[in-house]
Amino acid sequence: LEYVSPVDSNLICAICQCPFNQPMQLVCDHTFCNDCLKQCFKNQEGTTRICPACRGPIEILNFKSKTRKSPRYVIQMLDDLLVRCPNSKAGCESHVKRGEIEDHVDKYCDYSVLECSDDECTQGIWRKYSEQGCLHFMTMCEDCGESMMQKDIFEHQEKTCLKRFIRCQHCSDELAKPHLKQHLASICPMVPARCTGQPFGCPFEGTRATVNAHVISCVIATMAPYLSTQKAAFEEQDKANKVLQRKLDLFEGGLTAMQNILYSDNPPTAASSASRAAETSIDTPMTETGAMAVDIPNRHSQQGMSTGTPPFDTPISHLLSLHESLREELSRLENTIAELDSRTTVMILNEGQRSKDEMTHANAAINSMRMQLHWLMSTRLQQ
Amino acid sequence: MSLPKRIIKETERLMAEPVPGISAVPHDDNLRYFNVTIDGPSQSPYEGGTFKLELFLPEDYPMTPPKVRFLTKIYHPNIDRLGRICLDVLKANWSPALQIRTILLSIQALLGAPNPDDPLANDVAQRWKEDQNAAIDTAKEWTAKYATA
Repeated sequence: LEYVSPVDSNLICAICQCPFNQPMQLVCDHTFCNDCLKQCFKNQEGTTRICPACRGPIEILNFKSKTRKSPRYVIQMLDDLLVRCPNSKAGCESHVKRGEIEDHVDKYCDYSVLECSDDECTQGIWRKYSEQGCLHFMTMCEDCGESMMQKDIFEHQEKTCLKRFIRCQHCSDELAKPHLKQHLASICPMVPARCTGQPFGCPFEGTRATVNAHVISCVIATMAPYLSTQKAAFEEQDKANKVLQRKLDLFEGGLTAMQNILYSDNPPTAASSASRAAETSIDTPMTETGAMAVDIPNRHSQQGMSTGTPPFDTPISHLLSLHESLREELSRLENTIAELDSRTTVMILNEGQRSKDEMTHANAAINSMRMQLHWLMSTRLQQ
Repeated sequence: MSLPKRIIKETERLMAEPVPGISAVPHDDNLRYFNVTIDGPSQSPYEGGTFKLELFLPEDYPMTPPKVRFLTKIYHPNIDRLGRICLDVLKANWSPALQIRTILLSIQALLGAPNPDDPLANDVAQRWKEDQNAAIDTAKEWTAKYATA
């Protein structure tokens, strides 16, 4: 079968390179025509078969369950493909859906060969003449005198007879039918035509003859070839321009996305971590100038544990990983602060205890001194 | 016997969209017989060379692999003096889903990656294993001598 238009490559069998015919799907989801698959597996031996596409093994045991018909929609798509009627050489110009071609040939096609309606005649005849009785007798073309079968005479008169003249609708010349097409396309002087400068603004219309005369003097027509090359060049430029514009848009979008990521990262991680980001961004090669511009103002020296960041595929993932490492840094700092805090509290408590002890010591000493003083005073008073 | 549709389609496609560095032209009198040229892959000892091959599609192609043979002399552990090629996809690993273009690409890849552990030309493979640099030099010499016009 001959397909009218190119077929989607997904509907092509890898073995016969034609659109699938009775497609079968293997366990690995690869699809082939039923016949192709059978023929391929016929050449293989042993208990397993190998998928022609992926070389995946298919156990021969329970083989029926491992191949199945393709889904209905695939078959539907295949059946909807337009094909030329197999009788196109005979003259049928129909384009028919593949699923309906059998019906077309069997029931409708004018050029399908049927048995002659005369019981005694054994020859075939096209469907379109089959109801006119037996046409298998010799006769003569009334125009050119050639003798042929009656069944062929219609085609002959319609298409090939060189003596059957018809009148050209424009110039009233008489000529044979086979020559008419060429006459209209390039010879007849009375066919309506337009100036070749018409697409560029020349309003002249007339017959081929008058147009030919006009073209010699028409400025626009003489410029036409030049103008049309110009136009083609313009269109090409336009197309290239559009591609470039799309690229630019893409790049700009990427840039703004990156800037957004950077700006939304900076506030929560505060000044100290931002400066560290600057440090790491120096460690790894950065191509995005925008990112650098944001980092550099924050940069000042700080005691740093340099985070060894490996090269990243895309700037976005680089920035994200940067962000992640910064967050880790921050949580580590938080931990250290909490630890320090608890340590100082313990220290202060210890210190307080000690001073309290000392105070009680001092108090006791003062008390004993008072007692002594008291005692001395009382002895002095008694004396 | 008439030419299967698959061969016609493959030939049309080879002509319409040829693989870079590879050309395959069928004979006028036998459309199953192709004249092939493959350019030596870059950064291989065969760089700069143009190698002629013949390719024949047997009667039951695509169920059996095409027969391919180097016509240009080449110093390669997997290609022997007669130009026969030791390549799995040309033998046991052939699949009817492969095509002329994929096979020729595989051969081009084989030029870029010789495999002396699965040799066809034993002397070449031996030399390739013992003194790779010398073997590569010989391959370059042969390329310059036989594969450059």
